[in-house]
Amino acid sequence: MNGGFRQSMTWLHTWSGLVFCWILYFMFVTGTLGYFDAEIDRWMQPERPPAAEVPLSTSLPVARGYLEREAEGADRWILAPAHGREEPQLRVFFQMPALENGEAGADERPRRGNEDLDIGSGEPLAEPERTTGGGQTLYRMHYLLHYFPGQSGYRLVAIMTLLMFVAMISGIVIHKKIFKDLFTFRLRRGQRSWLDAHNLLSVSSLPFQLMITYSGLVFTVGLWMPMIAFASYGFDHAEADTVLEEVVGDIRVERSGDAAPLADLVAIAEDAEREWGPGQMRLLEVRMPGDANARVFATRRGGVSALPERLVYDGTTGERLQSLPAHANAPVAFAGTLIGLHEGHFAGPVLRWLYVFSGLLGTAMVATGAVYWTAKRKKTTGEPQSRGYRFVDAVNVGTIIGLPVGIAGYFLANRLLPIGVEGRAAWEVHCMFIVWVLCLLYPVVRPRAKAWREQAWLAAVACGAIPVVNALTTDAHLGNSLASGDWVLAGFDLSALAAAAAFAVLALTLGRSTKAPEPAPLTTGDEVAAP
Amino acid sequence: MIELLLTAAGTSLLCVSMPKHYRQIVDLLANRFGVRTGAELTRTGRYALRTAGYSLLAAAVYACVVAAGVGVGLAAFAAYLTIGIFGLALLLSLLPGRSA
Repeated sequence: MNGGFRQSMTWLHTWSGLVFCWILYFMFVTGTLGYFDAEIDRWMQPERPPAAEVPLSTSLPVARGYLEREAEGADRWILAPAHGREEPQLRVFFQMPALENGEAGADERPRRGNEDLDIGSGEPLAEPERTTGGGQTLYRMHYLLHYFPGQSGYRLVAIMTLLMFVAMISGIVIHKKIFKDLFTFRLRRGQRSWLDAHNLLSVSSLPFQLMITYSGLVFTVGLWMPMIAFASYGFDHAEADTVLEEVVGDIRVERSGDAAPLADLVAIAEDAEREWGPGQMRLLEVRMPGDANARVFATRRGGVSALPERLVYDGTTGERLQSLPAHANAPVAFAGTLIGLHEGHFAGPVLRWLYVFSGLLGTAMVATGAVYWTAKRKKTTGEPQSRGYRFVDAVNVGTIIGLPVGIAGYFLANRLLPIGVEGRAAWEVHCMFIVWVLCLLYPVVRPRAKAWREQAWLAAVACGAIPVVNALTTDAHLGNSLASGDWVLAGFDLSALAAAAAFAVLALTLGRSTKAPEPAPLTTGDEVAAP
Repeated sequence: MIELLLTAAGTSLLCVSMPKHYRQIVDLLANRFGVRTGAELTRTGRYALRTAGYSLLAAAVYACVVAAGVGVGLAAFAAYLTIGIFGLALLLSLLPGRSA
């Protein structure tokens, strides 16, 4: 790490980027797919079509009726009418009061519940036999990884995010000609091409990558700086939680102990929609339902911020009491906007695709960085490659191509695992990781150049098989989905075909490049941002 | 769509304001279409192209914000900018004289 500032930053960029680049790659891939979590959910359970949107005057009484039957005396109810991709079904949530010591067993009802309701019967929708982790499992892997106990996956992701941020800032510092080389990409120039590709992918999507990484850090701010909350609220976790209430401007509702009937929720929802406009009320939250102190919070839909505007009503009279702004103060506005931008819930179809495109560029940025590390260190004089080189090269093949093969395996398992088999959702995930591990082992036993090409072909076949197997096992195939204009199902199959085509082009390109003579290595003067 | 077009046009002008990319375009026009232009990019020409490029990008930001609000508009502009730069770099890499 000796030398000038730029050399030190180069060292930092190389090692902060390389050491955990495969976990970062995993986070980028699963996070990018996470922007289509609802669409993936739909494809993986085609037997459960989305509910038709019905007026609030119909859906809210159904939800209320269910909660009054199943969750009387709860601390909290949430009633979320079906609306678009974010809420494909009428959903209810309840949370019962915490049991004091010695009370366990007195009330055997579940302490919390989350159900999708059938608007006709008012009962929970029957779980389709095709149980699945769906897009939500892939999305959760983005920030929790998988197979990690407790919070360890989340903590590791937080560390990865910090390293990613370090790699980005150091990458900007070491890139001498960041604007001069903005449009530069030289094809078929060996390691120079890998460096150009890495630079182009990084710089062209820099605003997105900076936003996504910095907002990822904002997500984990409590993990990085817990002492700020502890300093003001002590080490009692319950007390420390009040920091959130104070910061976001929430209000605490205490139970009075006096029973009182709940106000008309439809009237409250209609009042909120009069304030915000039709279709703008996202959900109702009822705190202490059935108590004289009950409060109803109407939450607004839309906007970039993850902390939406809310209206507070008296739960017994239905009178509007106050408005809670989306941003109680500047730090909350800053954090809420960044988290909202990261999650992208506000994005319509076009912007959602742009998010996915930028996510794919980020994925390719990590991949090209990892490949450049090996391209730069590859010995072309016939000497044996170093152990570190062989390890990184093998894991690169097994992860950069192997992970997409594993994810294709996850989707194929959804269609091929027997319906009704115990632990079906878990086995879908096991299939994904088994395939990935096999892909990691494959380059160990094959010459590396052939392993790249053969795995790229494998990825093309696996992705291409998705719509084929879908057609053979369900009625939700392209023939039907295109004919009926169901663009969620058709879009999934067409995306799989596009991925198959991309991997086929990659395999053909790799086939050509292994036959071509090796270009001369970069000289020191050629380096632009060489890690 | 107008936002994307403005962004693409803005990034294209900024790209052409760089001498090495200007040379690529001049060579392409001369070799492929027989169009003769000024061989060298003058200082005035460079500043004019840059000013026009930044103006178009500013117009794209304005269009994005008007269409979708400040937050969503800026996010959309960043994505359009990415597409503009990335697409242009790929196009240039396929032009003759790409080794410049």
